[in-house]
Formats: sequence, C-alpha cells, structure tokens
Amino acid sequence: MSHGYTGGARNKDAEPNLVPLLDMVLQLIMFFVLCANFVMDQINEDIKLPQATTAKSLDRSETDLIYLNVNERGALLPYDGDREPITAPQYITRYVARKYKERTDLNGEAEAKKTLVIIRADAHATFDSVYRVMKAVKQAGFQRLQLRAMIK
Amino acid sequence: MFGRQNRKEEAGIDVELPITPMLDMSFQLMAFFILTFRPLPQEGQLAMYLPKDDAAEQSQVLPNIPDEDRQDEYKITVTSAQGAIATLSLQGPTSVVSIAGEGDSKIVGLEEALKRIAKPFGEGKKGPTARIEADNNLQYAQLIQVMDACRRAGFESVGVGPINPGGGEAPK
Repeated sequence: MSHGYTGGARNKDAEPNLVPLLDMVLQLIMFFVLCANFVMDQINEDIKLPQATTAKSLDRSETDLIYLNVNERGALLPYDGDREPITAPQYITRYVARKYKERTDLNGEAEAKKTLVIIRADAHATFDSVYRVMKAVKQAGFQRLQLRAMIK
Repeated sequence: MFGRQNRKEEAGIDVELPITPMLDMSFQLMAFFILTFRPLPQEGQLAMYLPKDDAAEQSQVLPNIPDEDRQDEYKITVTSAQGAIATLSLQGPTSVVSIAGEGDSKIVGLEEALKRIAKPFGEGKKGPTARIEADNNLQYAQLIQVMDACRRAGFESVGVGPINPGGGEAPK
C-alpha cells in the first residue's frame, strides 16, 4: 500500500531524465568530429598549392589515399609519428617505403599497389624536390600518383 | 482504488518533455560547428605517369607496350632561370620546336603547338603522349603550368622527369 503511494507520488512529477542522454549524445558527436579531423590531418594547410585549370576534384569512390605534403623548402612533412620535416632523399625513400609496407600489412600487396598517392607540393618548391618524392613513390611500389593543385 | 486511478491520470497529464536542455545542447552544437567551420579550398588532382625507374629506362618510350601500340611521345624540355621558365621546347618524333615568347605567353604558345598535333581518331586508339623534362631548379608552380597546358591541349596523363636522362647530377 505504502509502495503504491510512493510510486504515485513519483509518477506525478516524473520527467524523462534527458541529461545523461544528452551528455552521451554530445560526447558521441565530439568523438566523431575529432575522428573526422584526424583523417583531414593528412592535409597540411600551410602549403600553398599551385593553380591549375584542368585539375579535377577527387572522385568520391577513392577512399584509399595517401597524401604526401612537400613544403616550399622541398621537405616532406610527415603527418604521423615523428613530425620533423624530412629533407634527406634516403629518408624520404624510407618514409614512403614504410607507408607502402603499412598498406601491404593492412590490405595486402594488390590493394597497396592501387593506393592513390597524392603529392601536395608547395608552389614555391623546386622541381627537384618534388621529383625525388615521385621517385620514392615509384620505388616503394605504388602504381598510382597524382599531383594536387588548386582549381582555378 | 478510486484514489489511485485518479493519481495515475494526473501523472499522465503532468508529464512534460523538457525542451530547455535539448535546446541548450542544440545551440551549443550549432555554436561549435559554426566556430569550427572552415570551408576547404577547392583542390583538384592532375593525373600523371609515374617517373621511370633508372637511367636505362629513361630512353625508352613507355615500358611494357607492344610495338604496334607504341605511341608517339612528345618531349617538352623546360629550362629555368631562378625558378621561372627560361626556354621551352617541344620535341616530336620528327621535329623540334622552340616556343618563343615571354612569361605566360610561352605557356600559351606551347598549348597552341600541342593542339596542332594530330591525334588519332577512332575507338581504342591512344593518342600521343607527352613527357616534360624539367630543370631541377624549376619552380613547381611553373611545372604545373606546363602540365596544365598539356592537359588543356588534350594530353590527359603527362610524364615528368629531369632534363638529363643519363642520370646523375643535373647541370646547375
């Protein structure tokens, strides 16, 4: 009897407690937003890309991508682990080869070869510094390479 | 019995959905997204052939292509002076053309010259290919300009390489 009364009293001012639910929703949203930012982290926004009229925007079906950022001094900017710019050609080769190995371990050799490598080089970099990154990409075993530019 | 029923009805009427915290959250989320929104500049890709492996391969046209499918290769040589384009020449299977002009007019001249190259018609036939050989000190933006001109003239994929195909250090 007494149980029934207290139950009734609780029901009377019952409100669905949305606060923990909202907290969780907010946390989930924050989590996804941060995750999305980690993917975009491959793109270095300090790099001033050259302009091209015939550049085509990235096909949405391309999901397996690697970005290689080259700054105006010709150094490769890694986006994971050690964040020091890489300038020595042999280290560039080693870095790209390590990327290829990571892909091979993850998806297998055949898929790793098909990974689209996009070079984002600064407009003021010299051809020499971009070319050695291209060569490193080829040596590592990747078979698809594109250069990124701003669409004019 | 009667009393309990009455209370239940009252309880049913009194339940309200608390809109306020939901609105608080919505506004916070909105503020968050507005503050963090940074429109990405439109970036696009230029497709290209991978560079050839070593000096031995540099002189070949394209690897793994049977003779009947072998395409004419046009070589564009770009020398540089302090990063800018100094001279620009177009070498076809039969002739070499030096592109005259100053600054951007060289790019326009190259585009015109490339457009004059007859491309094979009909399905399954591939057009001629273009390969840019650039000075090591050439500014990357200038290289992209040359690549852009090739693509405007109909050469979809362009290869690049350094000027001296013999390998080793390029002349400074």
